[in-house]
Amino acid sequence: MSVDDKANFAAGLLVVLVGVTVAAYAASSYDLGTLRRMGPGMFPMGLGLLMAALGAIVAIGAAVRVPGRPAREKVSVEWRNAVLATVGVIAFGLMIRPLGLILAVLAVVIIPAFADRKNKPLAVLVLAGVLAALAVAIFHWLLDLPMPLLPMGLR
Amino acid sequence: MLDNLALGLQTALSFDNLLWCFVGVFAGTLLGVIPGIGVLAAISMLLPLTFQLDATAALIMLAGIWYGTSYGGSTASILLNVPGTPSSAITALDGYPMARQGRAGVALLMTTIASFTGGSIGILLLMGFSGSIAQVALQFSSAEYFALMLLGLVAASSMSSGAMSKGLIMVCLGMLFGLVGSDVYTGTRRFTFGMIELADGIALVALALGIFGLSEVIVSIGKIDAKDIDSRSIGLKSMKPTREDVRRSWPPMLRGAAVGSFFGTLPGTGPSIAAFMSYAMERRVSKTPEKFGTGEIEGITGPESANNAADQTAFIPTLALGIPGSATMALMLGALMIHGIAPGPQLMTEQPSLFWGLVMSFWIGNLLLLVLNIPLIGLWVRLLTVPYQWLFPAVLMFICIGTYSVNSSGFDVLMVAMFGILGYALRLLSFPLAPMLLGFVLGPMMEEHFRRAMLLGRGDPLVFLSRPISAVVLLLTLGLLLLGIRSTLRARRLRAQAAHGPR
Repeated sequence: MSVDDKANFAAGLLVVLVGVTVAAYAASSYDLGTLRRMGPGMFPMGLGLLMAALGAIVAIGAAVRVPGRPAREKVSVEWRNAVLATVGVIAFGLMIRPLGLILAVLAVVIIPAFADRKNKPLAVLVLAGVLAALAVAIFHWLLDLPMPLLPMGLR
Repeated sequence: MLDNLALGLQTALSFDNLLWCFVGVFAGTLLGVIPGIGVLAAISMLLPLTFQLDATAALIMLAGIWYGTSYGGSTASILLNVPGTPSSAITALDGYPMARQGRAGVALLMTTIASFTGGSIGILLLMGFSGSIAQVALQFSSAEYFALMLLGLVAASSMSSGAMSKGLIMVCLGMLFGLVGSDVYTGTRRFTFGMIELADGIALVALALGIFGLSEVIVSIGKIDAKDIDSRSIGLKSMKPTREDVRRSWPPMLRGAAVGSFFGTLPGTGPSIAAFMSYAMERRVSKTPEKFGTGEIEGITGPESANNAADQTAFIPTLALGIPGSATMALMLGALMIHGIAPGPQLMTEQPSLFWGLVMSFWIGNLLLLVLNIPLIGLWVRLLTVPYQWLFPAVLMFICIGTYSVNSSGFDVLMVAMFGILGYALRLLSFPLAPMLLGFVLGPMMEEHFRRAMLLGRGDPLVFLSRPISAVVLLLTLGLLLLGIRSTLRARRLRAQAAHGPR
């Protein structure tokens, strides 16, 4: 199996699992109703089963060997980019309410910035300061969106 | 008709609407120029800003962003060989060689003019046909709506790159996310797992910005380098095309507009496929097809005209039927619904000022773009020279603030993070993302129409086949599915043959 086939096989199986889980959960938690008067569970159950079937098609398609398939080079996962960018966004989500816009913006700029090795600490701090000022100017003064600017105790 | 045009013009020319049209096309061009921000991310980033506006102004602005990105997208294609937006990818083939030959200015000017030409023809068709399509659609019942939506979803999964089965899986996944929240008929909370934040469903903006914005940023970090642009070489003087350029550009622009208008209205296609088709066509009609890819002007004017024509005609099914044909149009429809406006054939008769104001604003927006792009080209070029390592943290900041401002909810921002990771994983496994957004928006509508049709049909699924329009549409859908299966099987057979050598 090529890298592509392996990935597709695993992805197909995962989709089958998700589909079956959704169908089972919908059937057991919600009223299915009748075909004439469908309950809230019928459509999701059908959708789950459909997903499982499609996942099976992908998995089987990958498992049945096709010789001569051009093997894709190994998929490289950009862990550093993915983790730092996502952590930055999560930090913003957790900080915005208790700590306010300014600190949340600093977090979402500074943490992900280090994903790119070309960024130097001092430049990142300047960038974060400029963007925080810009955010306050645009979203607080210009658009007047209701957002806390400072941490809870300091407001 | 004349009354409608006057009403539309009056609406579009009001100070507020003009202003938001300008803001939209300006921001659209700006975000289109920057590589790594697709049109979906651009629209969803700015969607929250439109919530304070009235519905007409909001739509005018969002539409401006949509076709504005098409104008801006070609700039990065020509200068950097990196498309600003997917629909401009094909423009890089001949645009970048032109820039290498010192003809960047000409290429930029001609793509702008081609964009305007294509856009204008698209708007004319939109004005001419929406009314009659809406008239027909007034006869539709739930069965027809369900069938049409199904056709759109199947078409979207078969047209997107890669295997159709993967596209269909993404549609299902999107629909599943769309079902989260309260069931319209019984009020039962589905898939909320007791979380109060999910009672109203997953926020459209959080989903769109996660799968398109955040995951796009993750992919682009460290990949885009803007060093090799000589920004001084692009001035107004360098833009003057030769007579030969102009003579050779008209026919491709007109052909491109025709191709683009057609593919714009088809469900599941859109500006990217339109541009690709136009390029293929230009190569076919050219006397010197071997020269394509070396800086032929036909290779940029055709596709750029096509993608803008498609941008405009894509509004026909969205506005006349309430059925979006692409992920971007789904986002537009979502914006309409957020503003409390029911999309569908009644829109034109019940909200004439919204409909015609929007259409007339397209003219104004396209004219503004012509004016914005030619003298301001230097500004866009300079923007491209801002290092991406400084741009992407700013993009993330706008994503976060944009999402938060919709519901003042930190939870939604956390959802962005979740969908960002999901989107990135799906990209790695080469699942197409656009069908997921289409499924998300259409899913709840399809469920509603399916349940209503079954109720009217007394529980007999044959109700979908007993009505002629719905039956024909379902047959078309089946045909698309079979075509998809056939091409998959044929590709497999060809690969197997190639492996065994010629017989």
